[in-house]
Amino acid sequence: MTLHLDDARWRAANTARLLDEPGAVDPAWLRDYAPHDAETAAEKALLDALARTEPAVQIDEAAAIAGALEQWDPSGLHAEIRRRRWAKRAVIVTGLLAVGVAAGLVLGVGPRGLGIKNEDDHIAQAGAVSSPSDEASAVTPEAAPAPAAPGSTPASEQPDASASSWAVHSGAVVAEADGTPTALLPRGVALVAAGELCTSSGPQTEICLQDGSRFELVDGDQLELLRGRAHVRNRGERSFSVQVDDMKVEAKGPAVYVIEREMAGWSLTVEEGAPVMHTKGSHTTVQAGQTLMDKATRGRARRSVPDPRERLAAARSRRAAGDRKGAAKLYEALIAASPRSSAARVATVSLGQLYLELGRPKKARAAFERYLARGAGTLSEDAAFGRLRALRALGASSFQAAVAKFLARYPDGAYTSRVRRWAE
Amino acid sequence: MVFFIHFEPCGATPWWAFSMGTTLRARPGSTSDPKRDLALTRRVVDGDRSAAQRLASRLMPTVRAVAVRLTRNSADAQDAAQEALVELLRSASNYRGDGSLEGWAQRIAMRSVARWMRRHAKGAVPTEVGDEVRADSASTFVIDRLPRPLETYLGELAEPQRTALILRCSLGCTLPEIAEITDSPVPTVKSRVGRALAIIRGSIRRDVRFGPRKQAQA
Repeated sequence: MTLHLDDARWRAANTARLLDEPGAVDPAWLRDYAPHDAETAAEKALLDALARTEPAVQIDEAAAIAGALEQWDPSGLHAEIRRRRWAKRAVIVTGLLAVGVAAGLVLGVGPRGLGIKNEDDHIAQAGAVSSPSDEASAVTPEAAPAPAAPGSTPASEQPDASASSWAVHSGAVVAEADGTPTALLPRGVALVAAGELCTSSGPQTEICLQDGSRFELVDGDQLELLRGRAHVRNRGERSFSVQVDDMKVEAKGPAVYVIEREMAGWSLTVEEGAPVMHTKGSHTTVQAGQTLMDKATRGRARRSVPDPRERLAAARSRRAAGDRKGAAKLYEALIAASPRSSAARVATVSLGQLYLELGRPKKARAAFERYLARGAGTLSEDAAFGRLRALRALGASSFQAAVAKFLARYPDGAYTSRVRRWAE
Repeated sequence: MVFFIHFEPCGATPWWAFSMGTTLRARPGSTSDPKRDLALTRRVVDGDRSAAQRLASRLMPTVRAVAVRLTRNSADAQDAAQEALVELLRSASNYRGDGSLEGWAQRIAMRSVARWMRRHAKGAVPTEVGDEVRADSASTFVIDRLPRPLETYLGELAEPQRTALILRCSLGCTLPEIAEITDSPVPTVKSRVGRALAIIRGSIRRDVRFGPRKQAQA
């Protein structure tokens, strides 16, 4: 094949323009040039197509905007910064704790055994008790009730405990704020340093805090959970509340509930009773068996479910690797798990094509028809063509009618010439 | 209501713009007013969520145009578009109001999507039938003159070549702009565009002389 002289000139000039090289000519000539040979015509068509057409790729714009806003959320960023700060402090405190434990081992625990060793100790252990009216110096093991086995001593069995006193039944806490043993005082941030910490506020409320939890006793009747998990058992009528950020749970009657606070979010699960949740001026009675969570936690919970797009990518790579059966299984799983997602819609056509390749036209037909039944989509033409192939493979009597319908619908489509050949 | 605005890739009029008139759909009320746009971005910087939503909605067509062209399929386009939007929101403080908001957004989006493509290049999923280019009614004529769908030709290119060619021919960037977007030297970019053209030219020649290669799914 001989290249026409003007075609050669057009190609050279076009290349020069694209590569910013000398030799570029009048853009109008480049634009209006009518190629003589098929190669140049195809090349011009390709470059024109690149400039003029947009791939019919589907984007769920609303989802992209919502996802972007969630990631951008400045409050989320600040929470992350706070979380990192806390994580850093936790490392320091844990280090200090390790040093303290080592020092304790070197000096010996002494005859007093478990509990507060002296007023300067930063670790409070099982058996200690304090009253808000007393300051740090008031805590002595002699004044405390006998140490109890972890998790086995209900507060109601301690007749000496007053309504506003706090007792540690199991676990250990370490002070962080000002170096005093704040775990048993109503002020300051405390960290649960070993095992689960179970404390009680009087005979009516028992709280167990998970290892690593941080909390602050706001007053005798309120605990602010800064991080971790609190399991609260309220036995009597006395009001007690647990606060996380601007959300507060209050139980004025018997109730058992769990509050978790991780990173920027929280969740509340009520096991028994019906505590009231207060948030920004509104309040909700949460029934037993209900779980409520904030937006950030809900988002994380959603993300923990396999993303349809990830499944689609996995199926595609399986298909690209030549494992058609494996890919078909993944496509099927994706469609079953997220039937309304855009990924599942695309997967339906891919699944039909795979079934055709696997020699299962009946299943292929079903897949294509499922796609078409949901109305027009980007892949309608592909699905309609796939359906024709399936009908042809099945030797269906409706094939010719389907061909005529296809040609009427897609007179200039990508598959039209092939379908026309079938019709002839 | 739909407004049609001229698309000015890479902040400059591409050589074909005078004839091709590539258009992007823009949402009502998106006519550019740098002062108002600057106020909007300032509100985003101050953490105003509704302003952030407005900005994201306004710039979505710009981001979409970049993401669908540079990526290979819907899933990638979705992820890359979302990441580009996040970057736009976080970069709101960089908008000085001395140009169109869309032009500013497009530069950021192109950098962001190109970076996303580089990060995910190793696990790149081949283009499927479902992600093939489909011409709109205005460009059917152009597409029909191609022996094979456009995306199959682009699919034969290495990722850096494909990205460089699309940035040059589809988004109208200059070679130095592509170099900045892709973190590559200008001579490398020039070589990629030249090589991409040569590969495509070779494929077209084969297709014209010996007929299009059979497609796996056909």
